[in-house]
Amino acid sequence: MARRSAVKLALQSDGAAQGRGAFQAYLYVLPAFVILLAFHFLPIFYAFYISLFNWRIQQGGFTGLANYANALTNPEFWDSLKVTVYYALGVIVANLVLSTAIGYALSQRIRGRVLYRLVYFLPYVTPVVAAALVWRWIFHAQYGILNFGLGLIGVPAQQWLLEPRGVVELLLQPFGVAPPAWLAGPSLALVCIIVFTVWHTIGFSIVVVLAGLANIPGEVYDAARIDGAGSWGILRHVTLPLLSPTLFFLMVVSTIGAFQSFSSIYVMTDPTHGGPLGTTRNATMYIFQNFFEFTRLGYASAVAFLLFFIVLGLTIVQVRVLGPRVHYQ
Amino acid sequence: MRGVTKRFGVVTAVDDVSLDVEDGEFMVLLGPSGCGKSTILRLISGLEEPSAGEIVIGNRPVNALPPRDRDVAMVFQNYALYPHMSVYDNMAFGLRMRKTPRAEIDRRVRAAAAMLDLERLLQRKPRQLSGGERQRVALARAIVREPQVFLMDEPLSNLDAQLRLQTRSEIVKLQRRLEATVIYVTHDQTEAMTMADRVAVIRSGSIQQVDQPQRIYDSPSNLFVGGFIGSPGMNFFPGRVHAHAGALRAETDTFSVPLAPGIARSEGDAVIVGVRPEAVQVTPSQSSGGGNVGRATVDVVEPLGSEQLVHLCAGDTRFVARVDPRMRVTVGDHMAISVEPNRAIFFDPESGGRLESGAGSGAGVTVHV
Repeated sequence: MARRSAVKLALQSDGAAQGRGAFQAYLYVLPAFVILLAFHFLPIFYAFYISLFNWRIQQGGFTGLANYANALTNPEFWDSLKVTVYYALGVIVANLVLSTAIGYALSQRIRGRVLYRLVYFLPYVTPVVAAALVWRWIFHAQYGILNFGLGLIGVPAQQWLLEPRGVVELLLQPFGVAPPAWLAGPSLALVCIIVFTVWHTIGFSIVVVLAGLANIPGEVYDAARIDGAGSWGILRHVTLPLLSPTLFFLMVVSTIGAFQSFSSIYVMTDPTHGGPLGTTRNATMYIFQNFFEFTRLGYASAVAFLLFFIVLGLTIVQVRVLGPRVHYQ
Repeated sequence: MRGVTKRFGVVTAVDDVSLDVEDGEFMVLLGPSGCGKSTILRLISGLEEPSAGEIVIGNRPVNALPPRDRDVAMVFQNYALYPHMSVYDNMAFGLRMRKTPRAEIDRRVRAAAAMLDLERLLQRKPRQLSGGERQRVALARAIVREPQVFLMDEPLSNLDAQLRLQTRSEIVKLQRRLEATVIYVTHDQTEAMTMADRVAVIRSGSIQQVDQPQRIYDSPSNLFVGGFIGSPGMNFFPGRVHAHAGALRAETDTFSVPLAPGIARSEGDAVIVGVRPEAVQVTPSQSSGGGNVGRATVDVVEPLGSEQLVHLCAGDTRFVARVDPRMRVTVGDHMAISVEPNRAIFFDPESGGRLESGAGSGAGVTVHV
């Protein structure tokens, strides 16, 4: 009797204790919340505020959306977007295709599998700036090891990070064909940076792909083999569809990351001129230049917000268009 | 299968197995977990390659053939349905891979769906189906292929008891209707006894006995088979051979029986007497009778409604008897135990094999250990 009533008492809600419990919970959340507020949300709101003014070093007059209008009518802004799109396309496609292929290969029982995985993941844990500096040296036009190596096999030295000409133009050059300006493709300099970025981030993508592959039940492969599917059939009808949630995730995350890319470009090119003829000046570099170099704070903030809306829009489009085609188990 | 062996590193999963399955036969591979029966199935299907030996399907040696060319279909324990495809596409996948014309695919899929009552479910995805429905889709997927051999790997293990009973009889009816050759793997001996034309009892990678279910039950070839088949399994009483009045008897702690004629054993030899629970006669003990009759104490009584299972012990020996439900038995009772001579089976304690009357076996039962 006494035991039962003791249990009953303990189960009754103690209002005061609940209040104390909730207060404790808020205390635990508080530090992270303060940091987020101070370093993420407040700067974002403040940046929006700045973008509404003619702000050089000091706050100027209220201009409303004039900064936005200026950006949208400024060919420099659209050029930087073009560079951003080239860069993002290069990085995303290369990343997805290579990480899927390599991830698939590494999921098989090959010898030295663990070593391979280590080697592929290692770049991801190296600091971007340090690695980018090293690659900058590799790509160096006079003293770089890449030109040296190519020289050994008779390929002429390239300008790499200093080359403003598009890759398509360069590839067709030996054949004497000159493509029209808009078809010249991203500059060789930008392609070099794409190569670096892919090298640096592919480890993460491979790990994610490996996890996605591990999620596919092994018996489904057995069933497909007995049903008569060859290796290609299994890849196309079983592996890729069941991997699609992982690939979708990678695509969305890669897009967001590629559009915001900054460190590698800053380190590997000469930021004041946006690389060779401005061909590596992507949107974030453009913002950086306007903000710190030209001190056009209001304008730069406006461009930053435009970039935000573009990335948001792209993400929504991806989710709406590709989302329904993903096969969830 | 002839002399098929499969090794994984130092572990021998399948040890020199030879087995003939007749056309249209329902063959069950029965054995405890880890005995190698699933591996045998995978060897037949081509999902694994044998380390030694030969596998022949319909007069065609298939060792070198990949699974897709062996004309077999498999039903998996976890169904292995393609989660991203509808039921229709799951069934059609195999035929599509073989470039079957679309009209033919449609005909076969709908026929199999009708057979297994899946017509309303054709557009659903596997995650929208219950366990029993998924199992039927897995079966239908195999039927649609019209293979030479159906391979089933414990297909009923993941179903609840009621569904299992139902699906069990459906599978048997299906097999008769299709006149299909089925190789069925299970650890459940009730499934084996009720479904099989013949059962192959497997232990640690080798076949212990292959025969019709009733013959395996009545004449197990060794201790393992006797103990594994039957629920509860056969009782084993260790004993010795003694001569009495010119006849050899096997004497255990509990009772003694005449040794079956023709068994080559002599005075003093150790022997194990196997008796099925229904052959152990239990009567309330009055006086200690001589001859066949021994004594034991009741340990546990399990009433099942149609009968009682009485667990008894005599000294170190524990055994179970099936007893009429109306007999009054309580824990602690002393009972008289006797065994009909022709219901006792004799085993060699060292090899575990059954002791045969006469030199040759002739009854089609092989004594493996």
